[in-house]
Amino acid sequence: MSTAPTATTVASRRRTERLAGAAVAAAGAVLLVAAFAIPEPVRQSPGLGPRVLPLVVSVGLLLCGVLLVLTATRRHDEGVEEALLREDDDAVMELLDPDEPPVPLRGLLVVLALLVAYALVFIPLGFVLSTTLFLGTITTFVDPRRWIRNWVFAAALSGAVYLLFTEVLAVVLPAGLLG
Amino acid sequence: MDALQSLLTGLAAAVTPVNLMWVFVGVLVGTVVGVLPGLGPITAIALLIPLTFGMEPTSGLILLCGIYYGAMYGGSITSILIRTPGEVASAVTALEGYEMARRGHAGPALATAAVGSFIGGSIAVLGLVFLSPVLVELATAFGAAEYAALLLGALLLTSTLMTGSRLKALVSILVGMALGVVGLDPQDTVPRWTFGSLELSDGLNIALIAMALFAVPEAIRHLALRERDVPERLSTQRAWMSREDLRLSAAPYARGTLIGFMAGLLPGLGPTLGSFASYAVEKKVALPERRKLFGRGAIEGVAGPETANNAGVGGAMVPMLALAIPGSATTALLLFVFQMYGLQPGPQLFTRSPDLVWTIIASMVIGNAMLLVLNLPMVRIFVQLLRVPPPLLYAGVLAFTFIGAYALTFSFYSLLVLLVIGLIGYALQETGFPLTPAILAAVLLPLLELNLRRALVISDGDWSTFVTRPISATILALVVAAVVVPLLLATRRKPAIE
Repeated sequence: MSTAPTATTVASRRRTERLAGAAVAAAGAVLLVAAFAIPEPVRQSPGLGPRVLPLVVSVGLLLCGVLLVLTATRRHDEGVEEALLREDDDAVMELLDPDEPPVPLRGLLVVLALLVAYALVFIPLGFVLSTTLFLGTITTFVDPRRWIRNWVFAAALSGAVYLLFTEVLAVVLPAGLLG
Repeated sequence: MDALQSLLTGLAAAVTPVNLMWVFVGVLVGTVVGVLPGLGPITAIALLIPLTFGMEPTSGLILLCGIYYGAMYGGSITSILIRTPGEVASAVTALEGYEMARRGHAGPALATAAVGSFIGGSIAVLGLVFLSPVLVELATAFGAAEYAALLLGALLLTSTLMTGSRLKALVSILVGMALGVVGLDPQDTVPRWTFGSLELSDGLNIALIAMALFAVPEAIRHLALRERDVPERLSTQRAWMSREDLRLSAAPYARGTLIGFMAGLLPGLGPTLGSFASYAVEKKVALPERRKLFGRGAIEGVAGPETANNAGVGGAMVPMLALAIPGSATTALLLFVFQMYGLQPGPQLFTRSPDLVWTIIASMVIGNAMLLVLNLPMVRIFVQLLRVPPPLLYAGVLAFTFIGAYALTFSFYSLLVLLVIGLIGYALQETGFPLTPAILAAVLLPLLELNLRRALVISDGDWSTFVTRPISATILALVVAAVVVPLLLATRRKPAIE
């Protein structure tokens, strides 16, 4: 079993909850505006129009977001420690969501930057080259000491997967510079 | 006995060398992917759909069904040995299975799970064989109103069975619905939430959403944490069970099969409910001296849920094949694959392409048998996969999502969508929102909207059509009972638990 969360982790979890709620509400608001922009059909048919469901969904998101912010705030008044601790009771929840360490921001930014870069060069450089570069860089970022293993893995996997898809499975992948 | 005849014909068709090969490749690849930590059946299918793009429908579907079953088997190995379930349904197996393994009973735990999966999976296929034609018969009387009522039920049931915060599950469903709305309106073909993008008017591809929600967030997390070392795993002996193990497991196997299959039939719930319910039942019916063992490695707690989990697969296939209503996120993906091949599940599929349907169903029986043969002697080989270093594993997963996304449209656009939805999924996962309801809602919403609006056009905008049509009214009454009664029970029982 994990150790009991301290007051600071409870406070930071509550802050995250509020932030998540606000983000959900904001997404709902944006979609709500976009739902009103949906054009009316040229010929109206009886029953529901194209706007109804988008309106229901966006209003639902907006309300849920507000509710999330409110519950995270209200718990503060009635002893947030107990309320949050009670949530951890479920053994299955504990399994699915063990006390995982928080993701460091630097690591997250590096991974995201590499993903965006991979997407940008995927077609121009071709699958083999872009994937070798992506796999080699990201695995070496995680485990720099084993860089030789990482780059061998990167090149081997890219090459093998490319041959498998283009030669055996008849799925065309971008050839790029090597094509 | 028509159904049995069809199954035998299907078996004969499935036993061609080529088809047998695809079943074998499917269960093997499925097991391999399922064993990898954190990757469950949904991720396995989403990642491997691109393999089938160039195949003919029968081979592709046989392969993916094999992957489905294989990933369930593989997932139980991971749950038992490193306590890292790939999805909610196998989390229950980890409860007792890991405890057994910790006490040096990894071998019996793995064998119990494998045998249970085989029994549950195979008997459920028989259930599928006999029930689908009945349902198909029934479904010929279904109109748009009936389908709308069923789909509404599916969507509502999705929200009832979620561990953790109900509000967060609801948000997840709404996010899924929003993703399902994007694209051209199904009836009036006006663009909705496309933000002026031409590509978005085709709608968001379900396989793309599944990869973005299930594979990308998990990979980002593990890579950003810079995990280098292989998770600690418990040692395995031979996977074998003693006569005593078998005696203790027999009744849970039987109950698990029944519970799992019935739960799997319910649209919107699928195998998850089955394994939860089976665990609860086993704990309740256990003799006092056995009940003490629950939480400390009770073999019944592995046998029941694992059987129910796999029986649920067969159960969930029934509404998917006969009504085109997916009962779980995984069957939702399979439904997409059918449609990708230009096949529409439902009554017409059974009359128009019976060979295809029955060959696929027969391949599931064969696949289950293969898995048992593969797993008992070879489990130690699969366990070696737990040694794949995390950076290589998760980086490889990301590369595979890129292949899958690219192969859908052959353009930069789907890579962009993959990253955007992947980021949304990552943010949701990190803040504790469950993601499974989202994918199910994304599949169910367009179907629900289409049928709802079609029914209203037919009735000229008169909502009473849903309660005046007898079948639709019955379905709605059942839905209300299924959603409201557990809620009432839960609120009344709560004080007793705490």
